[in-house]
Amino acid sequence: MNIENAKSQMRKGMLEYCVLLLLKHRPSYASDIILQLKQAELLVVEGTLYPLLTRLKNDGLLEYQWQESTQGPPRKYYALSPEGEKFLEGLDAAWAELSNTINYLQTITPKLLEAK
Amino acid sequence: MKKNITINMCGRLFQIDEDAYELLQKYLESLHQSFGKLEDGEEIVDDIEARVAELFDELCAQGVVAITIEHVEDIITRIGKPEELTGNDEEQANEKKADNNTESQTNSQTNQENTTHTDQSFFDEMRARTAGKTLYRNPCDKMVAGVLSGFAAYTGTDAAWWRIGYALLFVASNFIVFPVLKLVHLGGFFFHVNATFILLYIILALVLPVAKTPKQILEMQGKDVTPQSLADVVIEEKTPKMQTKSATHGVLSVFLQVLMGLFMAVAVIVGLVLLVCFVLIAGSIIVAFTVGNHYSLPFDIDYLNLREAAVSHPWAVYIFVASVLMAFLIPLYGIVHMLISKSGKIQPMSTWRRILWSLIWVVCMFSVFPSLFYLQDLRSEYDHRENPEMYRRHDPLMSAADKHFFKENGFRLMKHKNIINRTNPYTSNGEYYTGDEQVRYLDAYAAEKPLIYHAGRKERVEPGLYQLECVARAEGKGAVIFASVGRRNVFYPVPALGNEGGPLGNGWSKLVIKNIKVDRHNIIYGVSTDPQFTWTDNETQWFSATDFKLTRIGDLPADGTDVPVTYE
Repeated sequence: MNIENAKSQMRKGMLEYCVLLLLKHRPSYASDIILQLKQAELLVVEGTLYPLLTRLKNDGLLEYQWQESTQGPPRKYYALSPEGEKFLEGLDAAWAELSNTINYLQTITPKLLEAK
Repeated sequence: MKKNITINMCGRLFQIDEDAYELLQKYLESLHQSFGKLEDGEEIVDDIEARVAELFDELCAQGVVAITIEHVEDIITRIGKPEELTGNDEEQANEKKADNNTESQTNSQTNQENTTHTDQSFFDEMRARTAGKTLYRNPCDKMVAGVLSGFAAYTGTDAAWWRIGYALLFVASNFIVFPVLKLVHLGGFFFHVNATFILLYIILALVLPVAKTPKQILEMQGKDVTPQSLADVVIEEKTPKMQTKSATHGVLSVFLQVLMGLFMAVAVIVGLVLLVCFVLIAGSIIVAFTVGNHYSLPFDIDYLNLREAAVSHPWAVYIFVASVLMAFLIPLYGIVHMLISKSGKIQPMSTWRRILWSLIWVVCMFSVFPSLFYLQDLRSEYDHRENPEMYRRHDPLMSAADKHFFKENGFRLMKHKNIINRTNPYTSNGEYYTGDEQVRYLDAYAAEKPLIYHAGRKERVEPGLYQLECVARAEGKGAVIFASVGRRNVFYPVPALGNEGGPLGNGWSKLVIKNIKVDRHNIIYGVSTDPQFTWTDNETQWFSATDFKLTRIGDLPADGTDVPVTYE
């Protein structure tokens, strides 16, 4: 098991949540999302995003609108649907729980061992 | 220099190299293949295509005039190969079906164990090997047209075995008599090749399709046409083809290397010999044309009298010179080309160029000999006319008149010894029985005894009873008129009457052999003084014979009774 592999597994698990987070406040189009995910080092190959967006859209979590662009062809701007917002809230809660658990394990475990 | 095309992507125009375009197209095609099954798969591909267009746009903004293959490669690694893109979703789908999967995996494992444990017959193994494969010609690994390599891919074996096997079959078909295999026979003056296997190869090459698309290559190799495997082929295709060449292992590889080394050594030697021959021939042709004939020229090229022949029959000379030079130059060129291309400095010759040159060479070989014979005939005609003595240079005894007589009458001189070298050693005139001094007849005079002279004429006839007439004379005993049918010989000794008197005058007698049984289609008759053939003592100093005439006098007796031969 190498570290890169483990990291990429983690990223993959979080990608969906991150995309929803990015779209929470303002609609974006694919290249925007790619740029932000890349800056956050969450995305290795860009193409992964497209099937994900399509799947989220098909699940009813995302909606998109075509918008004219000044530089090129019209772009698809993705935004959360009401359903997606609800879903995101669920994920927020799950993340908070997960984060707590991780924090707890990171800080508490050594003390537990000491106690024993 | 590269060909450049303009493409329209998402309403934008881009200048792109042709190879880059091809790679891009294959990439999008493989994306279609991999996403096609998914819901809204086409939409995903369209989105990715839009992304590619966007990235192209960025490149143009940076001042790139034409998109090159490197740009496309960068973009493919950036966006990801098909399997990298679908993996994510599949994994999630797999998680849902995790339980099912583990079950099916264990199933398939037990299946595999079963198959490895059962004894597989050869045919089962072959069936297993060819299962799910399609027979194609293999463009990635080919010597001629990739037929055998295609079979190798189809059966999952090494192409080298197929090549060696096929070469052995081809060689064997030329040495061992396989009546069935002797279907096609190429023949010429100087070579005979059983071309069955060549023809078979050509037919296979024409019938079998080439595996062109990535999908076909996968089908040929029997791999499942999945997005991942397709992408591998698409990306791999850019890399040199050497990688897909059949790796030959162990003993076979050493054997092949040795064989290859030997082949190269032979090629070098043959090349040097060809070069020397070419220089000598070209040089002597130049000398023959400019300086004129000289007896010291190699290959007896002076005998052809090129300078004179070029005036009277220019085309024969042109064809001969061109074809003889090309006959040496083409293989020389082929060998030099092969040696240079092996060292990697130039591309190996394309198959079509190879075939074309081979055809030209064959044409040359087929025109060298007829034109050579034609020039030789011209020369001998010239000698008959101009210089009878010159003619003896190649046949020390036969004169032009002798040769002419033998040719006219269909005789062949099979044996001769101790014959005096007069103007016409094998024929004579002046003492013909009618008194016509111009009439020529077979005649020889011994320089020392015994006179050995054996000349015959072969005739193709219908089976039956035949009569042989001739007119002959001799100085002493030993000259014999003969007729041979198979191994049976009939002899009639020529009366030894000298050159005076006799039934016809000047010593001549008419000899008739009747009832010669000819039970096949060939008969040879003539005159002989060879004791080893005639079994008579040979004491004659000279003889003459002529006016041989064979006539059919009846059918062979149906009941097989023997009709006695009579002599008159």
